[in-house]
This record gives sequence, C-alpha cells and structure tokens, in this order.
Amino acid sequence: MPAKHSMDDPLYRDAILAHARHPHGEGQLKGTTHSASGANPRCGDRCTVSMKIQDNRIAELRWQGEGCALMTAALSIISERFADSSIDVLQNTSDDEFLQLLGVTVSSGRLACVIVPLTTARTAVSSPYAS
Amino acid sequence: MNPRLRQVKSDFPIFSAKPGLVYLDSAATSQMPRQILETISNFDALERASVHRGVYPEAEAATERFEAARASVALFIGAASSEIVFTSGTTDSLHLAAQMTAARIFEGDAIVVTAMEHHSALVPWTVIARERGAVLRTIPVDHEGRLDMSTLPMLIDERTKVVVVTAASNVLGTVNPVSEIVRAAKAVGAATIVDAAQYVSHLSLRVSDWGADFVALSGHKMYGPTGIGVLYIRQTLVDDLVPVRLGGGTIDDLQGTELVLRPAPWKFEAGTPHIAGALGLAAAIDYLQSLDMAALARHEEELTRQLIVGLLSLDDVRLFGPTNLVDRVPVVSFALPDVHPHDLATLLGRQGIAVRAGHHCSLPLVRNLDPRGVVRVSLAAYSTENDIAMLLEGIENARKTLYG
Repeated sequence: MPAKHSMDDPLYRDAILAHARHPHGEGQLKGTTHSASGANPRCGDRCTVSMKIQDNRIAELRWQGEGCALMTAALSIISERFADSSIDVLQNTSDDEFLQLLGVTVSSGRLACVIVPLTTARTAVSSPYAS
Repeated sequence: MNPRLRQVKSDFPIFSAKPGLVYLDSAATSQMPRQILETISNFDALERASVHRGVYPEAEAATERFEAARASVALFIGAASSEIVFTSGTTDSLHLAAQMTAARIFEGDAIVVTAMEHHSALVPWTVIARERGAVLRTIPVDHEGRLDMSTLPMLIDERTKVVVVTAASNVLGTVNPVSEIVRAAKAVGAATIVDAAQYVSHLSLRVSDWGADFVALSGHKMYGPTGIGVLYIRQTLVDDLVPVRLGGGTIDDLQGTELVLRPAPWKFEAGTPHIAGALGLAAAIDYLQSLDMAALARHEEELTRQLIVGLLSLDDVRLFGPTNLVDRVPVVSFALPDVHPHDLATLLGRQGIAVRAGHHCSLPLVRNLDPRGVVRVSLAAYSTENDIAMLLEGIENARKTLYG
C-alpha cells in the first residue's frame, strides 16, 4: 500500500524528519582540530564535519552541509551520537550499525545520502586541521 | 480523445497488476503491452531457432521473421533494409557509430556536440577527443531550453569532422532542429550522428528529412523490449565503414588472414542477435501505428500542457526546458528549492508515483540547471489526466511530510 503519511513511511519516519527539520550540531566550530569534507557529485550533496579532538576524545563536533533530508538527518544523528565520546566509538561503528542507529530502511539508491556523512566523519578523525 | 487511446492502459498488464501505479518515467523505460509480450514469449517458446544459420524449416522461418522485422523498422523510419543494423540499444548504436568514425579524427580536429547530449552520445567522443588530440565544441542551450543556433557558423567549420546531436532531450523535452544542424555539418564534410531514443515513440521519423549519416534508437523506449536497438547507417557510407565487431555472421569467407565481409547490414551484426527482441521491436512499431501516431501526439501534447500548467502552479517551482508545446516531446523537468530531488522522488515513489530524479545521464546540462539534480516527469500513450492530478497532489503530500 503506498504510504501517504510519514507514520507509514519506512524511511521518512517522524524521527528522521525531526532531525531533518531541526538538526542537531549544525554550524561552525571554534578551535577545530580535525576536519574533512565529503560529497556525492551525482546529486550535489556535500558536507563538512569539524571536530575538536582532545586526548582521543571528540570533545565537540559540528557540521555544515547542503543536501537532501536524509543527509541532514544523518549528520544530526552523527553529532548526537559521536560528539562528547571517544574516537573509538565512531571508528568502531560500522556502516550497518550506523544504519541501525538511524532506525529506518534505506534503499540502495539512497544509501550514499547517509553513508557519505559517516565516512566524512571518519575521515575527519584522521585529518588534522591547519587553520 | 481517440477511442483507441482511451483503452490503451488496459493493454498493459502492469497497470492491472498495480492499479495504484502512476508511471511517469517512460523516458527511462516504457511499459510493454500484452501484444508485444506475447510476440516475444511465443517466439521463444514455440518457434525459436537461430537466424541465418540453419536450413531446416524452423531456422528458415525464424530468419524470415527476423528479416521481416528489419524491413518493418526500415519502413517505420523511411530507410532501406540494408541501412538497418540491430544493436543492443541506443548506447550500443552510438558507440558503434563513434568507433567506426573515430578513425577520421586527427589532432586539432573539432567534434561538435550539444549541451543537452546524453552521456551515451557524449562520453565516447569525450574519450576520443582526449585520445586523438581533438577539441570538443558544444552548441549551447539557452534559458528556454533551446539550442542557440546562432553559434552554429562558429562551431561547425572546416575543422569539424563529426557533429553529434540528440533529436529530443531526455531532460528538457526539446526537439532540436536536426535537419538544419545536419545541413551545416554536411557543408563542411562532417559526419553526423543523431540520438533518436526519445524521439521515435512520439513523433514520426523519415531519415531522409534529416539526412544524417547515423541515427540511433532503442526498443525499450517505444513499448518494446530491452536489449534491442537500431543503428541506421546511410547506404552511401557502408562500403567505407570497417565493422568494429567481427565474428559469427559477418564474413562470407576467411582464408588465412584474408576476410571477405558480408554486405551491409549483416557485416555489422556479429554473433547471434536478440531475435525475440527484434521481433518485439517490430511488434512495438505495429502497436504504435495501431494507435495512430498523429492522434497519440495530440493526446501527449494535451497532457503535456496540463502537466506544465500544473507544475507552474506550484510555489517556487523552477521549470526547465521549453514551457510551450512547440517542438517538444512529453518530457518535463523541474526542481523545488525546499525539497531535494531525491527526497521528492522517494516520497512520490512511496505514493505509487514513479518519476526520476538526478542528473539523468547528462551531467554537463543538469549541473547548470541545479547541482542537486532535477526531477523529471515523462509521459507516454498510457498516461492520463488522472496521472497528472495524482502527481501534483503527491508533490503537495511530499511537502507536507517534510514540513508538516
């Protein structure tokens, strides 16, 4: 049965929409120590993830991005989940585990929308930022 | 509406199987009617044999039907049978044409393409230009989605060796002035390659009107099966063209390293063809003609009008391509600033509405329209007024889902 409302939609669940509408962690980060950018050239989705890493801990995480609702939601969830925790938590979260975190069914055609932010965050950890 | 068109949807089993399906992606692939599905499965189930290879009755019957299919295609586009080469589709056809013409390209030569070419037409030449030190020149598109023809004299000059043009854009719906472009190309001795994939299911084609050297089309975009297409090669060229695929069915004799090639079109068709596909393509031609292409064009034009009016009524919509009904096919692309094309297409898909979002295999064009990509709606014989109403309602629902 085609889903007309977000409650029935396996992807655009209220939780995802809440993140897309009022994303957590958007903005610039003062005192950035690590940063990386990622993009999906096929759809113009792009994002930059900036971190303040101290003693192997992501003390703060902020991001900026332009893209679809899924990418925005993914970045918001990355900010909620991985800021203020050890870098091991991020590095040890697999793609599948991240998808489970999102709690929705992402079709193969939309996978890049949520994985590009994740790989960007992972890359940021090993990319010292020279201001 | 033509009474025959009114019942068209019932010819297509998918619409009975999925009554909620609003299929607006025929430019990607069209649906197949029962008549063609039956032709294909009947051949494979009851009459299957290879072509040009056996002398027993089934083999001769299959060969006759296959060659009759070729003759149907020839008649459909106003060509001779020997000018019709079966391929696996437009992409295959365009690559064949490129590979066979590449030999005439030397350093400093120019290859002219348009800004609205599909990657299948463009990318072979991007690579050939790079490898052979030639330059790629692009006929630009204006803000109305039409080619800027005033640039022609500057772009098509004595350095130009090949001109590649799409007859109808798979993004903008624009029908291009192919005859004029071919004339300009011929005046400087350039070869011409026309991509007719989006054209032939909507408008009647007579290749002599265009005068092009090569014309490519696909079965699956005209109610036929996937895996079959056509490369029309103008008769006067065939003797000079070296086939790029050789093997079964292309040679009359082989002595050591001496080859005697078969005449056209067979010298260009190596290996066992998609026989059922060719029969399916011929059946698709029959089907199109049974609908009366003039009546079909009027029907599609009226629906396109409703579609454009409907889309233009959306808040903040950007419509790409011509907004009039002159020289166009029923393909319309648009974007909404507040909804990413991927989100819109996914949310529409959930409502049973099939559209396509992205760059539509035309990155140079679409990046200039919107780097996020655009949403494309495309119509066919089975499209209805209700489809368009459902699309517009679906877009409103998508906006509500995202913004409450």
